[in-house]
Amino acid sequence: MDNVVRLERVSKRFEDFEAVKCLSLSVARGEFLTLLGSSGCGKTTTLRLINGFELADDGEIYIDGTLVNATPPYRREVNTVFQNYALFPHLSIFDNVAYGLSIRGLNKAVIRKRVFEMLDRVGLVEKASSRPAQLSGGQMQRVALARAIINEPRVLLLDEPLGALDAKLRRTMQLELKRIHTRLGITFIYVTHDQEEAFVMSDRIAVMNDGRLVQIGAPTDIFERPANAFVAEFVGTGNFFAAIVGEAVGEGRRVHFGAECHLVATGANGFAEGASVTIAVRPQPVQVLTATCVEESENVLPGTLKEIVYVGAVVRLTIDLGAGGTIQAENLPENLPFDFRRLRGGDKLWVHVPAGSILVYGAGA
Amino acid sequence: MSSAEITAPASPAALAAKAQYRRDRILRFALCFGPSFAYLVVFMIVPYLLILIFSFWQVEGYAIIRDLTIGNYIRIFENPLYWGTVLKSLEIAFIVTIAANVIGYPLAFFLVFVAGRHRQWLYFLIIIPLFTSFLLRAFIWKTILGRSGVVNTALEYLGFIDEPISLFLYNQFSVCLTLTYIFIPFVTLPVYTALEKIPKELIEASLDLGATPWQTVRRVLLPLSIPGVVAGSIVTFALSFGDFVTPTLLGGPSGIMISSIIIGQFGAAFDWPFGSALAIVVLLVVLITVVIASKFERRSLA
Repeated sequence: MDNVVRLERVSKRFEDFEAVKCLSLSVARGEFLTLLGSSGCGKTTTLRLINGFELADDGEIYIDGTLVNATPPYRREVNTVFQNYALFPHLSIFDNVAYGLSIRGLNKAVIRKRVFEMLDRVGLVEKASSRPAQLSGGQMQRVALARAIINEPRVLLLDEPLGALDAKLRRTMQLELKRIHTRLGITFIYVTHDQEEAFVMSDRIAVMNDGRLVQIGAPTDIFERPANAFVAEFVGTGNFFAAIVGEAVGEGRRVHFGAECHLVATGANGFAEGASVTIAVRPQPVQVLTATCVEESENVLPGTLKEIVYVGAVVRLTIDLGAGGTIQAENLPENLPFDFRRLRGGDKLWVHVPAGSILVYGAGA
Repeated sequence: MSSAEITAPASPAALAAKAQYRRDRILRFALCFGPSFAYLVVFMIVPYLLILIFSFWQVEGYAIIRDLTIGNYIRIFENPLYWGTVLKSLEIAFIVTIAANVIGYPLAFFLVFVAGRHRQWLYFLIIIPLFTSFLLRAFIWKTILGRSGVVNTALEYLGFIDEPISLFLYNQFSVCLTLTYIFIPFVTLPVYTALEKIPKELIEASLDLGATPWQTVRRVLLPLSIPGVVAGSIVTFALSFGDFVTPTLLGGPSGIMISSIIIGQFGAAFDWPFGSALAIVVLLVVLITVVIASKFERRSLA
């Protein structure tokens, strides 16, 4: 496989904090890879190991097959879009974008032509002689991007570049970044803690936790088959229960939690009877029912309504399962077999948890 | 009709309240700014005006003739002793400003980017001399450069010279050296502040875009620290141009500066008007320098 960036068992520690632990990662040419994780998980350190602002303590880093462990940042053919843009305040937008080319000593006419092409592409030609301070956040973001990609780097690194923008602009920029990536064919390595952002743009997502790579795969893999409870929680699977695996029933195995909660889970097939597991269920497949429409008794649990929140498109219900704990369900109002406006806390309800929607993880995973 | 409503007389209570409010405001204003204002008038505006007026008067015998004339200024520009000394003071101030920057800038750079955890106490070392008397700091060079001073003793001990040489003291060199020593912190401190304010990401962005560390210094750090350089240079230039202590202690006949002449006019020569005219010239030169420097600074950031 054609890898632009390859990390082999890379480690980095700061004083008494191990930021990256024995990380191996390959990034294919032209791919959009996102490093996803909460703050302190080592994703930014990984990025800084690639652009050369951190020195690896152990392991090898290759860019285009060349070992770059000891190569200073200015000799690496990668460019970075920084979190807070890091535009040069004393230079015009034109000079900011021209910086890399001018450092390389290109002919002035060539620089001029290419900078204006790039400014045209990001829609900022009329801002060429402005200063960064005169631009809005979204415009500065586009300048930062233009300043990096004009150098045609082998890899473009983006460190939470949309973090400072408001939600609406962020969504527009996500799509714009994705379009730019598709059109230029440059490899993007994108760092974010926002799982939605990762899902929108990435070809592959690498989920990191505590300095390690937890799971890497296509967004659908990560979302539908989280490798462990951590990833499941990170991508928004709301319900977790400590359970014991029981006997085989039909297509799956029974799992028990609380005193009297029993579910059949197809995902439990690989576990032996009596094994301690964690089961996880996303709130969306959990269907809320009333007594009148409880037909199948399999995988249906009784409970009482604890809280109901109307979020516009969906209704979010928290249901108390007694000793089993609480379960969250997120249903479309039209899919509920009753008018949710009439529900009150304490009402008796049932939830149906489809056997195929239950993720099962062994203890310690 | 509606205008009649607007101009209707206000109630006596409202008028009284308004007057009371005005009186309170004047009192508050006087309490807050009165002392500063008095200082400004008594010690700044009045003396400057006096000097300006004096500079257009003249002395005959031992009496001041209070007729306005520009004779004093003509005298300055006709006699090379005076304008020559102004030029030499300018030259010394210029040399000192350059030298203080050559040493002070890298020092600030070192503190901000290299010193790391040693930054605090090194910074403290630089400002400690500012807590001691200016006079003392100038005087100390007499004991370093003098005939029985540290330099001569060391050279003698090492066998480079047989007897003490007086080359080091009482000339332009000793004045420049001392003033440079005194003004290095005045350059280092504002440059330090300017460099420290530069976000680290800008340096990383520059390196990331392929600029070597040296190119980064030239294209990012130097331009962004210009305000510090200008601030330090203005102080250094203005204060060394008008310095009196250093040339008096260490200048000797060849290291004389314009302030010494001005003091002479107010003392032995008893020519206050001429001294005032010289002072006005010094003031103008400093003002022009400040204006040029701030123009330069604005252009570097515009």
